[in-house]
Amino acid sequence: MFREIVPTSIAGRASGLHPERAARLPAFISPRVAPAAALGRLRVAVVGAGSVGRSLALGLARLNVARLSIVDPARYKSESLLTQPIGPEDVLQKKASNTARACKRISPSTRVFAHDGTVQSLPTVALADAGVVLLASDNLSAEIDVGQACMHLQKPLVQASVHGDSLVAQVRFFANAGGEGPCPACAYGTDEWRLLDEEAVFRCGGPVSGSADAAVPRNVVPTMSVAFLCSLAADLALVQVARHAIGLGAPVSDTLLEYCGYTHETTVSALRRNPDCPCDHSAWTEAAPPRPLDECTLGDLALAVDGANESEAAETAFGIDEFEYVETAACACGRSEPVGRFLRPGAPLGRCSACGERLSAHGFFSRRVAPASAIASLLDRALSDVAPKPPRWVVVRRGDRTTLFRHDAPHAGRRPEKDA
Amino acid sequence: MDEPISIDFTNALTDHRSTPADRPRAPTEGAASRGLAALASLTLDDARRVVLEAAAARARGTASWRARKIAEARDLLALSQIAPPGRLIVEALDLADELRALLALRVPVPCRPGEDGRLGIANLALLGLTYWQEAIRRPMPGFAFLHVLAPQGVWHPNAAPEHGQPLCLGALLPAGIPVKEIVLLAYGLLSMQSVMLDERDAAGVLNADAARWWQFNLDKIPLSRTPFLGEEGATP
Repeated sequence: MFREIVPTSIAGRASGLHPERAARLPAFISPRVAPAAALGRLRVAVVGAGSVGRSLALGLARLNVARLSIVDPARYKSESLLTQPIGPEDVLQKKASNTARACKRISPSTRVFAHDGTVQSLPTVALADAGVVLLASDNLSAEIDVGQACMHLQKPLVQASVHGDSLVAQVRFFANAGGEGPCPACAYGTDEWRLLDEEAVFRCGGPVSGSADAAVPRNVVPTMSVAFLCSLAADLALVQVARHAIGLGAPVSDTLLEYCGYTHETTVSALRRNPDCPCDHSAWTEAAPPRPLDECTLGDLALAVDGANESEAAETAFGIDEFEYVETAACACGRSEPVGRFLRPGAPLGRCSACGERLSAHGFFSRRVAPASAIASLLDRALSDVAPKPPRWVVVRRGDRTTLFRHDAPHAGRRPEKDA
Repeated sequence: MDEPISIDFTNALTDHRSTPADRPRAPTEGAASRGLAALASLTLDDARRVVLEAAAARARGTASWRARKIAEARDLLALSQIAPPGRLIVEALDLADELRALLALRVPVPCRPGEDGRLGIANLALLGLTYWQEAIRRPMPGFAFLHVLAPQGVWHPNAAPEHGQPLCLGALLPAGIPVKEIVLLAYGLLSMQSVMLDERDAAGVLNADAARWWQFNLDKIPLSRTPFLGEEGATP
């Protein structure tokens, strides 16, 4: 998933120059929490490291936040010099890693992570460590997926965007508390759904597993704007983040903040849930496993969901990490062979006993979420025995509820770790 | 729909029958003449209603996803009801997590030519349908929904030999595509009324050998001109 950026020798030499945050932290009026401590605890994920996202990340580094995770699949182009705070030496560099290194140089005390891929290639749980997620992407698919993940994980989502022609900078703050509020797709009209279809294309290699995760962006129009508008949108977003984290002024939850350069008007309006939004607005519950996760059985976890009884546990379905449950392997010769294991997508399944060719997971008989009825023989075995490697998380679904168990969550007999 | 419907898919790979003659006949109410427009207003017959209710009772997920699965499943069952007898049989339906269905589709299916070079043609496809929750909110690749469980050895440019014979319905299917459209696309594809033959095109060719073979056998296309709701032998 994310790769941590380690200090370079340059950053190491410079680290002695870094002042304490308090050296320039203003005496905010009536903060609801101690500002320095709140910023020192802040863990932020930034999706998109372009004209708006890079400014966001650099601004967060200057706040010396605790943790910063940056996602972007693209590289800087020469045109990026026109709108993005980069220099010529950054052109052709991967946006996420390059920005992460810049942030690390600014704030060596911040743990900085980068993912040079699409946010869609990350599992939902990848954003679970963030206290707040910032979104600065032109890609509608990314927008939907990040909105969905934040809704599930109940993470505040701050979306910053610009409309160059009208000199408008917008910041949406989605509180995502309890699954009741709006998501980015709630505001989509016919045009957005059409654009969503137009901007996606799929690799021609066919399926690797039963999932459909091979989408790559196409026809994504670059931000047509000016640098000052992009950085303004980023700064407005950081104002909202600071207000939320420190408790400054009125709550910013589920609001749209809009500044128009033609009129110099700033408006704040409410974001509303669209009852017809096709996205999954469910909020997942995070629960502590009864023991270290890899020592638990799926049966343990089923019963750990709000003290469910055995009959309810039978109506449960499980997703383990990024593994898929492969019921059956298929060979191009037409032969099928039983498997009955959780495996990494694309993991080798051996050779066909009839023709000797490689077996592959049968797309129809592979599941990302496996019902208890299909994996009865695995329910009483420790996860270390069920999964190909110790799982980082397990998702348990029953009825309309989803419960998330994470391996680094506190469990019985273990104290929670302090924030980085 | 005379046959009890189970959610157990485990026998799907071995317990299929290969000819329509030994399959149950689907009642139609003569609705085929009213076409697909009749789907929304069609009342499911008792057998199909029981199937839908049983599957709906086991559905997991948010209220909106459960409602969507049930609506899509209802349309699927309604489609089988208005189709000519035996055209589409919903053998099994599972709404627990994703919408999963086992479908028997009466359609000519090209199979790998034998040693004599003659193309095999099966008259029935057993399809595994998976309708993913994300399909309602984002475009999906054409190979995401259907696998040809039987016959084996499908000789079609848009069906991969590996991974259980996924069937590619196009480079991209739009967000929210209805299940009934997936079934109709599959019918058109398997009967080769619509097909992508250019193996250099990313738009759905999963079997380049078959694509090249068909480029030299265009005279055999389509395998049938009968529309989904039409009776064999009738003028399309």
